[in-house]
Amino acid sequence: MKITVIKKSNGKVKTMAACPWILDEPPVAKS
Amino acid sequence: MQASMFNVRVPIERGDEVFLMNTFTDAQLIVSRDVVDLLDRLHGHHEFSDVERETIEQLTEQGFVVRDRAAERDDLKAFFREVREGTDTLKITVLTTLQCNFACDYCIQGDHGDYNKSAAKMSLEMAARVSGWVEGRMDAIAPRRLVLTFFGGEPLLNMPVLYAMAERLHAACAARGVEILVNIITNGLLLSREMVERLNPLGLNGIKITLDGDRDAHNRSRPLRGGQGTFDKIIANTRAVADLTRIAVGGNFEVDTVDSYPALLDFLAEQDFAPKLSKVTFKPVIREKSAQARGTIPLTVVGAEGKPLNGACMTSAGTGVSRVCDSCNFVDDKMAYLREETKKRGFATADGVHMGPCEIHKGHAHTIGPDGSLFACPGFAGEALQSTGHIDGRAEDYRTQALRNFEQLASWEMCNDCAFIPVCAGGCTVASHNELGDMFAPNCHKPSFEAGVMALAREAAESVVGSRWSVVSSQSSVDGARRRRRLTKERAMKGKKTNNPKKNGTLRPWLVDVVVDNLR
Repeated sequence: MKITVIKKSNGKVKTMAACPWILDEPPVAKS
Repeated sequence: MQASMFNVRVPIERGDEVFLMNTFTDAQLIVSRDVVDLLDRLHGHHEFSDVERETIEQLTEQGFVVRDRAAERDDLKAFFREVREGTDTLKITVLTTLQCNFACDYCIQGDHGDYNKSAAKMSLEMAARVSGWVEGRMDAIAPRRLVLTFFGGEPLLNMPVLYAMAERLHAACAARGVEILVNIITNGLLLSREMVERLNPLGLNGIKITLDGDRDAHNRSRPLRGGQGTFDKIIANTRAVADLTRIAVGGNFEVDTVDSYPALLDFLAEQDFAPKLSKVTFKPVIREKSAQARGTIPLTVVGAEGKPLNGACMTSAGTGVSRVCDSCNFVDDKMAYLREETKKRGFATADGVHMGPCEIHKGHAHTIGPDGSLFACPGFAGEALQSTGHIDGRAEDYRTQALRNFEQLASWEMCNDCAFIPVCAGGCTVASHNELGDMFAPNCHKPSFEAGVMALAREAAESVVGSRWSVVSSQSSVDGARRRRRLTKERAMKGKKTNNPKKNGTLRPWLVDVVVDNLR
């Protein structure tokens, strides 16, 4: 059984800072 | 012990391996098929070999195996509660004005004919009061960060208010030890080096501009009010500020302009400022067949006096003209196509999977109109009756009711066991409100999410083996798309408006029958 981790669990998925459907996200936050 | 309901899987051709993602924990793996088989026989199975137990332990750490479904649903509810109640970030979007110097032919704002006579503009006095209100919110919830976004209309048409608020709130944040990030969503026409240099010390994080396709397509779609093209000026302005701040590029595509986007991407890739572009993301504008010819668009709801009721610059979410939620899968197909075209040119873009929960699900995210009215998101700023409050605290029944409505939003609860709930949250509430006539109903773009996951799988496979692998699109996915098209067509034939499934106890079949088993 082989597992290659591409991305580890963050505990919870990141939420959007703004609206991805209509406004689009502003540029990625610096921190 | 069983497999998580938020597992999605994409078989990878050659190599007999499978890409696994859990949309709740964001974990991504490439596993051998026996691991997938193990996941499939977990439930009700108790005897495992040492190797299997070790694998289960690893899968549990990453969220692919959970105790039971009830516990997982409780975790999901807790997640949405945390999103609503979280105080880490105070998100404020200020509509400095609803006026605009553009005359985009899909704009819902409704003031093209009267040249902004009835479009509201925030006064400096109101800007001071709004700033005071924001300071009060910071004192109440003690956030780690204030994200201040200026929007409109065209926000740069009211620079005195923009500067005044940025300066005051930057000082307020400094005094409270709160990080401030200032964003501007602008059409780019008035963008200048001087402006960016003045805002950088105040916490300017970045600027988003809009280009609707290549030069010709953009100039047709987003002209000045006098009809002149705007593409060249926006590009010149972008070049002028690109070394000072990060620039995100957006664009609104339509059936007749989508093919011009690869040319736009080629153009952008050739520019000296290309490496400075932090993100390039396109979104759809869909016209209804009944929409009138260009230049005679009825636009948004008009009040009794014939004046538009105003609204934010929601270029793809209007009533009657432009729609964010399609009924022909054009959006899903083309968004996936443009994402791939964008990535091919080396630009960062949305991955098509991480789409939510957006700010409307957050209790500490507010949109503030030019008159101080509060809204849950900019998409509702065009409807006075959807105001959730006012910065002066005035108590009005309709605002109280609207606030209650938004606090109860949980359309994802009707999405059954869809694996994409954590990254979708039931879709765009503005689209549900405008297109389904029901803000409590979910709207589904599952094919778009599936395309996004397949792209992630492809990238993951390539990163592991360093060569081009392809992912398998199984028959059930195709069947699901066909079924959705048929059911959507049936729904359209019965009439566009739908009732709230919460109220009548029914669910539209296409909303519950969207789980794609091959991805589970």
